[in-house]
Amino acid sequence: MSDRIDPEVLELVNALADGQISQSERARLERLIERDPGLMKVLKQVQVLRSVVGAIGHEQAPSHIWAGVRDRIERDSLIGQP
Amino acid sequence: MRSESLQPGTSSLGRDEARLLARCRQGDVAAMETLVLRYQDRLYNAILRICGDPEDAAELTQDTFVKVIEALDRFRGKSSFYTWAFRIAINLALNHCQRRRRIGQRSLDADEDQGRSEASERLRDLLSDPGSADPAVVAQDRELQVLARRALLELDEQQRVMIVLRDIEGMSYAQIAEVLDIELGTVRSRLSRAREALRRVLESMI
Repeated sequence: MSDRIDPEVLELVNALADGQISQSERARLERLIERDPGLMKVLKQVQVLRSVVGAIGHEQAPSHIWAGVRDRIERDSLIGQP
Repeated sequence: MRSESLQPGTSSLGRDEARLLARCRQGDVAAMETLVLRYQDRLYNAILRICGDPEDAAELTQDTFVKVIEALDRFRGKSSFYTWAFRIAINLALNHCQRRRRIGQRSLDADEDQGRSEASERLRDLLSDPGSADPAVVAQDRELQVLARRALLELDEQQRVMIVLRDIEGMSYAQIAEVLDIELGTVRSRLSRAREALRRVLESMI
């Protein structure tokens, strides 16, 4: 993807994929992409990576979380009393 | 009870949340339960993706809430409660990972190995011709998700945290900077390097 790419440019590509880029940076990156169309492929690869990882999904917490927290708080409170 | 939909990193506390935290500070156990139930799914999921083990993640989630409740008096509301709690969770998870170094040694369920070669081929195609990728199709591809989970665990902890906060939790760069207490520029460079490392790991798997 990016073996020959300036790390700073790669950061811009990632920031663009994330929508975390300023107008001036976007304009600069667009100029760079015009000069090096290969950067567009790099951008698409970053977007693919984001999609693949983003699809991992969310696991629900097990049901005993609160019970464990409560037990420890109560135990700590008891221990803390004179 | 499922977690509510939350916007991480919002800078001010909502009135309901401020009241809830005030009740927790007064030792109201019912309020503490509400707090835990409200945030447990998101914290647990992020911790799970970082440490890779469901049992460890559950224990670390409990550790996080105990620390949060104990430290509530020190929470001043300068950041969102979620960001503050998340910082505690990430620190605990990172410390745990660094202590155990068990990542990457886990066996995957047999069913997770099914279809792996086909998924590898699809991944190879996606990376070599990313213009053909359909995000909706990628999102539904369970075998690709297995590969992604496996690859994520191959990264070092700091890189994994960056990917989890951005691509799984959906935090902005500013929120990540707040959670990790680092500069925005550092978020950019770390995330870029983390994604590069992830790409290399994925390519080594196909």
